Amino acid sequence: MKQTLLLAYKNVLRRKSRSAVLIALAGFLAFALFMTAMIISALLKGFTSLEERLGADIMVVPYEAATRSSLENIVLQGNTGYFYMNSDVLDKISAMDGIERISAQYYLASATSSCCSIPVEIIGFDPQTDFTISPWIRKSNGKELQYLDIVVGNDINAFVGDTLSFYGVDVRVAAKLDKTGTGYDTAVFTGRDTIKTLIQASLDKKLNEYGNINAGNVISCILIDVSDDAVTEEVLNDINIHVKKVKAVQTKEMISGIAGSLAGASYMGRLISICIWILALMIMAAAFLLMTGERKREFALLRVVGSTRKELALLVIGEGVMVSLLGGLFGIALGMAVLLPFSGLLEQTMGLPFLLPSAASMLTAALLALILCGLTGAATSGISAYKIAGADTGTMLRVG
Amino acid sequence: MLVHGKNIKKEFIRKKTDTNVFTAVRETDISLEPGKLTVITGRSGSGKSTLLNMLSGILMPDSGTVCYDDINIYEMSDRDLSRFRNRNTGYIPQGSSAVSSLNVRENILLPAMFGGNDIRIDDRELDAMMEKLSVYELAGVMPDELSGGELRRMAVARALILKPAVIYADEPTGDLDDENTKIVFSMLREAADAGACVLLVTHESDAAGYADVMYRMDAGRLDKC
Repeated sequence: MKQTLLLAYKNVLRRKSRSAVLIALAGFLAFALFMTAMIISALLKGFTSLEERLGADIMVVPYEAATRSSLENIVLQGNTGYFYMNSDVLDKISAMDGIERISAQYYLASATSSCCSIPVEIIGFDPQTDFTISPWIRKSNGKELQYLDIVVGNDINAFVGDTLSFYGVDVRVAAKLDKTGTGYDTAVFTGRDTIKTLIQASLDKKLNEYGNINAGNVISCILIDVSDDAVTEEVLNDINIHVKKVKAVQTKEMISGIAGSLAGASYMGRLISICIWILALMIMAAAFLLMTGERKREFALLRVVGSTRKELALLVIGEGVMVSLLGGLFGIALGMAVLLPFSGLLEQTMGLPFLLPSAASMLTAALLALILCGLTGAATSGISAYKIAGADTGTMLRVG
Repeated sequence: MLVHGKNIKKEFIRKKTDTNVFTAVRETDISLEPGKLTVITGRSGSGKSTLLNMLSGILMPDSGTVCYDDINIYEMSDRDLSRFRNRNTGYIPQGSSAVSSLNVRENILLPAMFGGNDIRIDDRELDAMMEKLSVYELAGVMPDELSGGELRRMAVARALILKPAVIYADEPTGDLDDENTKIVFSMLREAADAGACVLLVTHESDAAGYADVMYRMDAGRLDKC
């Protein structure tokens, strides 16, 4: 058996072009399976992370910010944009029925910053009332933010203790957040007092298009947690009917709606994976049949010198498993090479939260893809092995 | 070791012919004795190779028995017959035969690879045989770089490497020049003289000069000359 496998190894190693074709086929299969699994998993994880973080039932924004695409951008990508409304809207909605918790957020886009190669969204929140960002920040920071303290997203090139400057105001990095797979990874978070200072600084430097606003009297968005005894839709309608120049939307519904579509896409992804696998299975089986057909005389020679039918089958299957595993490794390595450095690009292209699974999950998926490749190799070469091992040696010598 | 084929017969199915059945070898008796070189001549398609394959244990006859001494080889399991072939027979196939991923030396040592751990090859004897067959210099060369004649000489070395009791040679000099043909026939003769049964199927008229027993085969019928 050892000798047969050694011969299989030499066959794979020394017949380079033959092996390369089969390795490429198996590599394509592994790449497709691994990438599909990883992308679906990253999207699902991104949505779970977003759902956990965005604990509000309703989001209220100025009407001009309420086009469908910009709302999805805010909710799903954390790309907040840059809009304001008067803060008395907050008081008006607070007084309405069915409100359990309510908090305002403030958005500002920085023009330039030494820390960032991409435009930075600055998100301010009220630590006294906030119930969406604070719990998440508390995990990374562990203590309350002080005035002129900021928390940076995971992709921002700054570390705890660094000082950054926005519109001439120096701020201190108090914490760095975990990766979210959304635009929040390139955002900066800070308390209400700090953001108001920054908004005022942007107005002073005439770098804010809302030049005529009063920084102390504006908010960008209101997040609402509806009380248990109230119906979210009713609260939503109440706001949309009674509060002017604003638009209220259900955030969780938006997330769960898209997450639902994603579940369908995930099902389709799995279906496509199975189709790819069946296609690869058929192509590989045909390739093995063709290649073993061409080597009939070689197999007959092995029988002549004393190989048993089982050893012959083991040789063919051994070769199949070896090239499939090599192809599998190649495909997975290629998948990793695409996925790891370009996950940000994938996230941007898809416009959905995209959070790569943990290293352990990725390794598990890689291992499963590799095992599946090996099994595919064994199954497809098994057909050829069965034919060759069952063939008559004398006839193979004659017709080979 | 005495090889005896008794009433062996082989037919093949031919598609798209009226009769469908083609008789390659009619009921035949043949014995190969130790120390003797038996030569079978005959036209192409006369059944020589089929008879040789049946005797060597790689093509089961439709009827009859093939015995090595008292052992009916086609009653053995595949595993036992394969091991038996490995230990007792050497086979030089018609045409080129090589494992494409192994170099010349590895191809010659192929029977040792399947022979189990107790087979020991004397390197000096191997080198001497390779030199005699003019393949020593080609030890590390891959088969696809060899000429037809070199491939054939390599196959001869492979068949003789384990010093088998029975040697089958199916047109072993097909691609060889006169000098190499002589070398191959001489080596088969030497093997017979050393006690092996040798069956040589050939077109070469020169083979008669090396033979102890001569047969002629025509349309599946074997006749002693």
